[in-house]
Amino acid sequence: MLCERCGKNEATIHYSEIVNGKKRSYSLCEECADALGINVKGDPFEAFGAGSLLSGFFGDIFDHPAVGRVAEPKTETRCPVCGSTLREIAAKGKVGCAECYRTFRAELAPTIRKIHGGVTYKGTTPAADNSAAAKEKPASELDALRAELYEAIKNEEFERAAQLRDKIKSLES
Amino acid sequence: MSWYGKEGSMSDVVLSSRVRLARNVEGLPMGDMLADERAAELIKGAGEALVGYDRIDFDRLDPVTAAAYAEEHIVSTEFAAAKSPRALFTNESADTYIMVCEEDHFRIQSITRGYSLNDAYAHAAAAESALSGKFKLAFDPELGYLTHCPTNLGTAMRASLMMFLPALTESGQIASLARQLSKLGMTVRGMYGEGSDAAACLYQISNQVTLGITEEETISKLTRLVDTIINEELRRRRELLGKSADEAADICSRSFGILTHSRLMSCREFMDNWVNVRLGVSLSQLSDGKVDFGIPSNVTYKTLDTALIESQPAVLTLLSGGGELTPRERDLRRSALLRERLGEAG
Repeated sequence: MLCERCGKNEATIHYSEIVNGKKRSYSLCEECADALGINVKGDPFEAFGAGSLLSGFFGDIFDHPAVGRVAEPKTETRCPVCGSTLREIAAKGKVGCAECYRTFRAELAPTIRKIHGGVTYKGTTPAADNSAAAKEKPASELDALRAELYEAIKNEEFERAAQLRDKIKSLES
Repeated sequence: MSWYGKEGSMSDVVLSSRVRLARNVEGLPMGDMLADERAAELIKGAGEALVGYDRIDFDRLDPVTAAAYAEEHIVSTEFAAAKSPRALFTNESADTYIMVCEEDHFRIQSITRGYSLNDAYAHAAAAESALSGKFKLAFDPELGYLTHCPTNLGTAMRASLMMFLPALTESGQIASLARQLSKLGMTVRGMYGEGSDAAACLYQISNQVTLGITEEETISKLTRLVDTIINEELRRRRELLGKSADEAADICSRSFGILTHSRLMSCREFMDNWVNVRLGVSLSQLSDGKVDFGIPSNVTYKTLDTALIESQPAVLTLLSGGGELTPRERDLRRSALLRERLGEAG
């Protein structure tokens, strides 16, 4: 099959876009696809992130039913705080503000799962005074003990090393 | 005094420990979407929250000084080179440095000398508390701290150690170490240059995973792995000492001679010889001074690590008065600096 645009080269790219809810398909050669700004080389989502490793993760965004490959800007959802669209976020591989994560929670979820695995957050919260929590842990004491343990091992004082190791374990738990 | 001018524990293998926390303010655009006026307000607010910190406006800083901060590993190269409003807040007595308006609103880092991740975390957490008293930090119960780049979501914490691993490098172990670490959610990269060919045998080992693991778990996991790496590196250094102490002493003494008697020293040549001398200091200690490595006692890890930072192009240019230097002029100054720092008068 020849390219629908130039009629000369073999059509190797079969491209569909959705405009106003109507799907149109084209068969193009690589050259014409390139001229039309349709990215075809390798990762089909490269066009949305200049081939950066991270934007590869965003590929999933476009599998989401809410996002057509070509959507009308007017109808695209925008983040109420920074005005970013999902398309812009995918292109950059970065959000526009914290609210983007809430606005596009469902759409971003597959990407986040891909990066981090299907896990939820564990750790400190901003409301808590983390410096106090960190201080409660005898941080400096632990570091000092570890340094002592290190010296003991280096000097091959294994009995002392074993005692220090137990002490570190009890402090850590 | 900057972090590298201090003494630290286990400096024969670990140069520094670092904890970096990325934090953002709720309701404020991030990265290049942040308008200049709002960036200025953010910097002003940070200044009010961070009592006892010095503020350095990077958008008004000359490029050489900015680049020198990057060479000292205090700011990222992107931060040093950007033109938009941004500031660094420093508290050197607390080993804490905060970049405001990097890609995240706040990049809080604590860099401590030697092996002291818990201290570094405590310092960084204290700075975070100071900021959270003034700003509503962006947070989500499922995703943790919300960051500009989704790879940092969760604790948004990067804990890392700068490690000196000449014996593991020499025995070709770095690639396999990198493979094993990546399976455990950790990563290794060369501080200078890439992969197993890292100049100066310096590597940064850090956590990769930030979601689904607490800050403390991250640190304790990293600590356990680093302990293993330290032991293996030392085992191989002892092996080297047992097998070929004279050869090692010869290489080390020659390198020390080159560092202290040259007139034109390139950065690469400096680093290659620096590795031998730094290893020599360690081997000399491991041999209980029984083998003479030809290094005077005033040359310590602190002297050598300071010389490493001071030999980098921008820091060297600053130390020479700040005027632009050609590569050849830098090589001249580098030799002079090394004679002064490491020579008998140093």
